[in-house]
Amino acid sequence: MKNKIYDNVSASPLFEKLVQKRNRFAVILSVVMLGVYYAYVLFASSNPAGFGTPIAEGSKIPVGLLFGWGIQAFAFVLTGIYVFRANSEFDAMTKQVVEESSR
Amino acid sequence: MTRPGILATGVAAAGAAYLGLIGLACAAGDPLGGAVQKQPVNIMAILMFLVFVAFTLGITYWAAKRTKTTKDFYAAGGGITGFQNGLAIAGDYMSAAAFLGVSGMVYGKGVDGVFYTAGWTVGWPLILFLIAERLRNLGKYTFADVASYRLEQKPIRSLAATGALAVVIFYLIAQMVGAGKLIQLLFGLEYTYAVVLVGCLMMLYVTFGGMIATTWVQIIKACLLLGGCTILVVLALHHWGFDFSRMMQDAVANHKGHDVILQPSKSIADPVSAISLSLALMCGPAGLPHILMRFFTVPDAKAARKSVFFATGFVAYFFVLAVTMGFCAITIVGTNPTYLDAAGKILGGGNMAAIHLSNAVGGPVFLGFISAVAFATILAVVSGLALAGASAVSHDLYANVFRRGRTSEGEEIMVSRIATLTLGVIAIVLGLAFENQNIAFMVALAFGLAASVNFPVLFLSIFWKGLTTRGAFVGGFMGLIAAVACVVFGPTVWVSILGFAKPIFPYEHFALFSMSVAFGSIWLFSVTDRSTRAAKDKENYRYQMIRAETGIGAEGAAAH
Repeated sequence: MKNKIYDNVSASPLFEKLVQKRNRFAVILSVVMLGVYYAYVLFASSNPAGFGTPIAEGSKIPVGLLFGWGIQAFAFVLTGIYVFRANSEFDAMTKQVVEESSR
Repeated sequence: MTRPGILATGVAAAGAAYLGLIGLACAAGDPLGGAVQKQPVNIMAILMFLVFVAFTLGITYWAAKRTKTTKDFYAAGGGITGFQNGLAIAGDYMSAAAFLGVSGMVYGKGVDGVFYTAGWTVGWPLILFLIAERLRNLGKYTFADVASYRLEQKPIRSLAATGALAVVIFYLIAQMVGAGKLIQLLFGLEYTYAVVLVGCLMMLYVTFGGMIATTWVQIIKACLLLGGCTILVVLALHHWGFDFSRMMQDAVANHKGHDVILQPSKSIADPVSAISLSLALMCGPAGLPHILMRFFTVPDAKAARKSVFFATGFVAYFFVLAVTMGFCAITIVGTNPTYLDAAGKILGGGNMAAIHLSNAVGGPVFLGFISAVAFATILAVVSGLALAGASAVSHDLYANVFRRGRTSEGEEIMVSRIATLTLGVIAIVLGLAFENQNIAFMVALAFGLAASVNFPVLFLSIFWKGLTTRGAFVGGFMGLIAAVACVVFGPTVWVSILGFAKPIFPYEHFALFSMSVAFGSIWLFSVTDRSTRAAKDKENYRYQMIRAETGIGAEGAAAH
C-alpha cells in the first residue's frame, strides 16, 4: 500500500515538475545569496581601505557597514520570497501530487 | 564605589573576553582566561532575574502537566507555530555572547563586528532553501533521524549522537564558565553559586517541562532581549538626536584608533582565513543539534519554512542593534571616566560595553534589567543544549541503537530525564573545574565539530544518492579527527595553552580544511563501497527523496 503511493509519485509528471521547479528556485536563490556574501568577504579581505571608505564626503559611515547591513536585510527579503512562493505555489502542487498518488 | 553592580576597579581586562568568544565562535580575540574580580552585590539585577525565574518556573509547571508522550517531551507535541518557533530559533542563536560579544567587538575594533554578523545571518536563508523542509519531512525528534533515514541505524545514529553530544558538552561548558564570570561581574555573586544555579534551573526546566518549557523559556527570553536592546539603542541614539551619522563621527573622533575602526582588521584581511571563517559562520548553525531540533516542534513543512523567515528577521534586526550599541558605546562609555580604569581600558573587559552603556543611558534600574536579560539568555541557551544532548542519549543511543526501537515511551522519557540530570551534573562539575582555564578551544571545537561532522553527514544524506553507510561513518569520524587536530595543533591550543612558539597548523579558522577532509572522505569511502548494504542505501534514496519533497509519511502534529 505504502509502496504504491511512492510508485505513483515517482511516475507522476507533476511530481517531477514540482521537484525541478522548486529545486531550481532554491538553487538560484542560494547562489544569489552566496554570490553577494562572498563578494562581501572578498571585498573585506582584499580591499580593507575600500571597505572603510565613507559613503559620502565628510561622512564617517563606511561602505562596508552599509553593505553588511544590506546583506542582512537582503537575506531576510530572500527568505520572504522563498516562503511566499513555496507556501502557495509549491505547496498547492505538492498537495495535488499527493492526492493524485493516493487514489 | 557606591554605584551598584559592576563599577569596581581591578577587573582583568581579559576576564570577560571569552564571553564574546562563546558566541564569536572562532573569532580572533584576546585569549580566554584570567580572573574576574567579584563585584558589589547588585540587588536590582538580582530582583529582576528572580522575577524571570519565578515566571519561567511557573511555565515549567504548566508545561510538565502537558508533557505526556515522547513527542511532547522532545518536540513540544509538534504544536509550536511558525512565528513562535522563529522566535525560539532566534533565541537559541542570540546568546549572551552574541549580545555582549558583538557590541564589545565593535567597541574595540569597529566594523569587524559587522563582518561576523553578516556571516551569521547568511546561513539562515541557505538553511531555509536547502534543509528546513526536508529536515522537517524526514525527521522525528533529532537530526540523527534524518541522517540515518536510509542508512544502517546503528553506526550512523552512533556517529550522529557522538557529534551531537560533543558539540553540546563543549558548548555547555563554555556557556557555564561564561555564566559564572558574568554573574560575578553583573550580580556580584560567587562564581560557584552562578554555575550551580544555572545548572539546577536548567535541569528543572528540561526534566519537568521538556521541549514545551524549553521553547517557552526561549521565546520569553528572545522577547526580553529584543525589547531590551531596542530600548537601549533608542536611549543611546537619543543622545545624538537620533542622527546616526553624527554618532558615527563622534565614534571615530573618540576611538583611539580613529579611522581604523572603519576598516576590517588583520584577522579578516587574509582571504584564506576570511573564507574559512565564513564557512564556519554559515555551516556551523546547520550542524548545531539544539537548533536543528527546533524544526521538529512545528506541525509541518509550511510552518518550518515560516519559522526560518521570522528567525532570519529577528536575528538580522538583533545584530543591527548589537553593532549600533557598540558604536554608541565608543563615545558614551569610552569617554566617561566612571567606566574606565586608570589606563583608559573599559572596566570588566571589552564585553562590558553594552552593560555600561545601559547604565549610562538608563540608570541603575535599566542596568539591572539588561543584566538580568543577559543572564536569562545564558539560562535559556543552556536549557536548549541540555535537551538536545539528552535526546541524543535517549532517542538515538538508548532507544534506537541499544534497544533497537523496542522500548516504551515512558521508558524513553525516563532515560531522557536521567540523561538531562547527568548532563547537568557534568556541566556543573566541568564548569567549576574550568573556572580559570582557557576555554577558547572548546568554543572552537563546538562550532568546528558542528560544521565538520554533523553538517556534512546531514547535508549529503539529504542530497547525495551515492552516500553509503560506510562513507558517512568513516567520513564523519575523519571530519571529527580533522577538527580536533586543527584545534589541538593550531594557535588556540598549541600556542595559547601548551605554550609552543609556533603552531603546527597555522590557521585559527580551520573550517575550510576540516570540512574538506569530511566531504572528501565521505565521498571517497562511498564511491568505493561495493557492499550489499551500499546497494540498499542507494536503492532507498528514492523513497527518502519522495518523502523529503512531498512530506508523505512525515510526522504530524499531536492532537491536543
